[in-house]
Amino acid sequence: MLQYVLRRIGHAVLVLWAAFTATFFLLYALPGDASLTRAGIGSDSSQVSPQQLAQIRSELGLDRPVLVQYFETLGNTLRGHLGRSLQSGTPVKKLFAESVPSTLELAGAALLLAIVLGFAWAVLTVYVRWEPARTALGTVPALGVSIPIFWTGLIALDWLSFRWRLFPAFGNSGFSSLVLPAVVLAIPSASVAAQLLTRSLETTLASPFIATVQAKGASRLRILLGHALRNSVLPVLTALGMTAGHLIGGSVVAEAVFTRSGVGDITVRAVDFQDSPVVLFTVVFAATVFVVVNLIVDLLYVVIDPRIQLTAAPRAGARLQRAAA
Amino acid sequence: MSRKVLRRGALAVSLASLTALALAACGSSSSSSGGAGGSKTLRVALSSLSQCNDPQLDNYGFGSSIGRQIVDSLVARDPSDANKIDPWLAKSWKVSPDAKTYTFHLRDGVTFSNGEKLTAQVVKDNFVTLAKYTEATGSAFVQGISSIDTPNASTVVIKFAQPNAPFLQAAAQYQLGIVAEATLKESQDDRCANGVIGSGPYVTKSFTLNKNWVLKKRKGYNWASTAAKHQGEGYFQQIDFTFVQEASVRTGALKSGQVDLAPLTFQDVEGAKAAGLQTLSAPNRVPAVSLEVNTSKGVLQDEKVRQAFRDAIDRQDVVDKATSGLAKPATGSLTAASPFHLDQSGLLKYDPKTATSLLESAGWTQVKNGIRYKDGKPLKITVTYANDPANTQFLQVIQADVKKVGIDFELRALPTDAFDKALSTGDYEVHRWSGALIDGDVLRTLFSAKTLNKSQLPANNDLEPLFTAEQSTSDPAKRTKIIDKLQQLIVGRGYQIPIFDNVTYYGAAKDLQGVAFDDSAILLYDAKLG
Amino acid sequence: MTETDLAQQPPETALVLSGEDAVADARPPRLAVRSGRAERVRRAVGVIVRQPGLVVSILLLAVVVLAAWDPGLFTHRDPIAQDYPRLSGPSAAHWFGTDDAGRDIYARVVHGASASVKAVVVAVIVGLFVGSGLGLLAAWVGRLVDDIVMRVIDVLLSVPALLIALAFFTALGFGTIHIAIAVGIGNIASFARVMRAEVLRIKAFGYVEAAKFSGISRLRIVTRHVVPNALGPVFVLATLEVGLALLNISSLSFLGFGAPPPAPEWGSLVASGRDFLGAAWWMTTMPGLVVALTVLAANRVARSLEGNRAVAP
Repeated sequence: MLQYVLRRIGHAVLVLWAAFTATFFLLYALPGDASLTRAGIGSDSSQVSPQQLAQIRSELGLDRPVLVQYFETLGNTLRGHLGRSLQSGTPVKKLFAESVPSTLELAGAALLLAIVLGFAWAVLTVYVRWEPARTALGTVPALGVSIPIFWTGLIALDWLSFRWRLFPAFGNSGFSSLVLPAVVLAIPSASVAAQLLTRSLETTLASPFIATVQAKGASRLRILLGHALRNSVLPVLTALGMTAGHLIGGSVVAEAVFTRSGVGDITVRAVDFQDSPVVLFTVVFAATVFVVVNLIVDLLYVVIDPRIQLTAAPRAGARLQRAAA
Repeated sequence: MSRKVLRRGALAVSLASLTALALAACGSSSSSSGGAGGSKTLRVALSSLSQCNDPQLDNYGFGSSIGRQIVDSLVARDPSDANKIDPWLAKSWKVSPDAKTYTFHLRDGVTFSNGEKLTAQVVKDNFVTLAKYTEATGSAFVQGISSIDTPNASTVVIKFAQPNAPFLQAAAQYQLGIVAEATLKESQDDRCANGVIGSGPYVTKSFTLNKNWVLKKRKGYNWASTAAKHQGEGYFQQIDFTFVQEASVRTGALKSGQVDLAPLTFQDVEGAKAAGLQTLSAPNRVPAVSLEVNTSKGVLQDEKVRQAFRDAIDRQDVVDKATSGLAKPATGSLTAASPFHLDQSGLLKYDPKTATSLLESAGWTQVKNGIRYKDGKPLKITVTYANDPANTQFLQVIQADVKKVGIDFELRALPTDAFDKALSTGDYEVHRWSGALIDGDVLRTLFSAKTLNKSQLPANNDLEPLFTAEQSTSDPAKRTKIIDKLQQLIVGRGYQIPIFDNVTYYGAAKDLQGVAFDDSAILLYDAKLG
Repeated sequence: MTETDLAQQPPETALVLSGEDAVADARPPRLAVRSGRAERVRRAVGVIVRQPGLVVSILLLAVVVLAAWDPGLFTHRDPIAQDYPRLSGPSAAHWFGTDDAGRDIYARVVHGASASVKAVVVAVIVGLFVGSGLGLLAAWVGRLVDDIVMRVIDVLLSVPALLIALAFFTALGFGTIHIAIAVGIGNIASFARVMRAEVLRIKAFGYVEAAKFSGISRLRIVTRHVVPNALGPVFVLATLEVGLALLNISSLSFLGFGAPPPAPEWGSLVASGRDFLGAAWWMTTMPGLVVALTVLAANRVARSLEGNRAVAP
């Protein structure tokens, strides 16, 4: 078990390094030049002649050989010197401190909502016996995964914030400004969870052991919640591992629509301006979240189902081979 | 712990959350409508992001909105006469006849928000430091200073090596707003990251870059320009700026009373009026929104093609479709509101017939699928621009217009940085530009081969002597003549193809008064609610 | 189930297919592929008769594909002609209304089908082929190659799709196909994982070892036995990814990385209409509805391909 965990952590570090390196070289290979933003070239008021640009570039250290820049950046990052944004001069750490909590808050709330709503919906769908209602309940998650987030977001804003004035349209002030973005962001994930769990529950309910429990006289609800659920949770758990990634991705759109200061928002602008230090930081952040969540999910497997063996076991085929020999 | 207990727990949590949600919603609705009459806080939603929190150094939106409230300038433009300059931090000034020497006499009693006094030395240090940051817009105005003398604590004498006629106008801009010594001592990165210390009516309280900014009133402020409507402190305790990029969110926030002032897209102006909001308009006095032509590339090397292109654009159509009829078709190189405007509407008529005959006489006689060809090559013009809905809108209308005479106008949208690169390397046939300087000198900065050379003209072209003359003549009448001639050449030869005079619209709460505009800058000093 | 494949289980589909669940009972897949397929087709026909929702979804997708193939079947208007009264709402003359430049939105949506369908197809194919190929490689060769390939997949998942998309746009310009490839690259991970899980599962069964013993070449085993059996869940994922790809492409357009004007690609239509929510809600809503309904239909079809059980319409 420990061996497994250590191996997974080793993999995680490798993935982080590879993501960092791939991003660095990808950014370097792109045409375009972050020093141009400093020079305000694209703005209507810039008077920088092309000759003056060279000076700015060397000030920013952009004219050195790429490998030099790479190793220096890598070394700095490992030591915790994340540099400054090429566009605005703000220290990346400051950007980190301002944006990460906001994104984690949003993604976390959305994840929680997705789990709660998804589970509740699935249980309800399976519990209800009346076919038309079941159909209706089953269709809603299908809608939930089909509609783009920015659309639901804008519509939600229009009705719930501008017309009925129930929630603020922007701001990071506490609970009320978190509600709309979290709900909107949660809907696709909740829908996926609901669909998966519904199917998984239906499968489990068809298994022989349920018949046994039924024969023993358990009520429908007890069967559902007490027995079926536990055995149906696994595929949903895996899905939630991937969901974390989708939530980070979806938060980009949610932050744009709901004017929240988060990592996704910063990423879009940094990518547009090729602001390397900031892009590198966001990639490392996303990769870290992804890797950590997946590690947690893997560990949870063991907790939930002791039948799963995580340590290397000889393959079934190998046994056969030995037997035949 | 059994699954059932866990399950029940989850249900309980969700019920509790829903209750809390409902309570919070009820609580928040009252605070969101906090703009009711006589309020001490002004809430503004802004659309453009800044790169740097320093009005001197930022080339984007910061100085024109937030920065303008934090710093004062030496002089101010008179609101009723763009050519008239009013005293501000300088109570009087003298310009030498050869426009080489500027003497400013500073008023007394001005202090920065950190307690520093305004002295001639501070002004000198401001300009000397700014001259070093060549990429800042304001820096161009303080290049070529041969010396700055401070004979006493309230007199500054600036001597330029070459005549610099536009300098007085420039001194009124926010880019030349005066900052404290403490700010000047910081590095460029720190100034951009931390903001500046100024002497203005409002002071920074807190901010999150590109999300929000809170200003608080500067107590004891008493040195407003005579161009302002009142003297003494600003009317608000606090001004909250929020950057809201989504246009429909800004409009919705205005309509639902969550902000008091916000820029409006053209299509939302009608709806804002219908919702009972005020709509304020700020005409631009800079060059008209135009297409700048690279004369060294593609089919546009031929002057006839440039002129045909110019004549094939139905500017009224562009304005109707892209700006809901709220902007005006361009009547010259500079906007009609500009003090240096020359009426060239004869050249800017929609004239497809002339366009067609020009193209035919230039050899573009074969037509295939509606597009003209010459020697097998199509008449294709590519516009390179920063990917942005406002740009896309009007460029698409032009595309449809010029197709009618057989020009294939292709839109090449680029991400911001790639666009900047294309600009700096001359990798464009045509690109969209406006310009942020009111003075006619902007034509020099845009078209002179020594500066930006938008049209990629050869170094010793015949406009250069005119540019030099314009910059060094201090006689306004003579200067105007030179600038007129420049406009005739630039538009006549198709270096610049003006499309429309831009207008910026703002929506404001019904009871918000006193908001003023100085071209691109918003002036909130006289603003009050109720 | 062996080792760590549970840790690599694909999320959305493969697990609940044909009654198999994550804690696998070791039911071998059918050896004789052909009869299994015929069985499934016969059952499918029966299912259609009992599920109107599915029929409607298939019809809708057919309409979309037809519109992509020949827009002229559905409209005679030019999608880029700016000749109509601008910003007029849905009416008998203009079913979806007109936009800010006076173009007919219905015509734009119809013509946009071709761009969107092309983009989605490219995105799914990129993911399908590259992803499945990687998954097959990882699972068949195993050990170190497996580890390396899966780490590469992880890296692909970590680098934001946005950055990959931007690389295309700055190097090659904005374009629908470029978005499609970028979205496709984002898909690779899902396909790789599904394929890998399936191949691992199949590999573990006795009949593969038996085939090896009977002297059939490795290549033949892979192509005739492993891959055909593994493809089931992969194709199901593909149909699901159709919906997802369409959504991702729209989102990228929303963020400003869309097709260049005046191309009427659906995502760009929704994105450009959003500034007009107050003045002309139909500019965003109509294309948005079309996107939502298409995704819904694709998902519905995917779900019915998944389950042998009758899923309520």
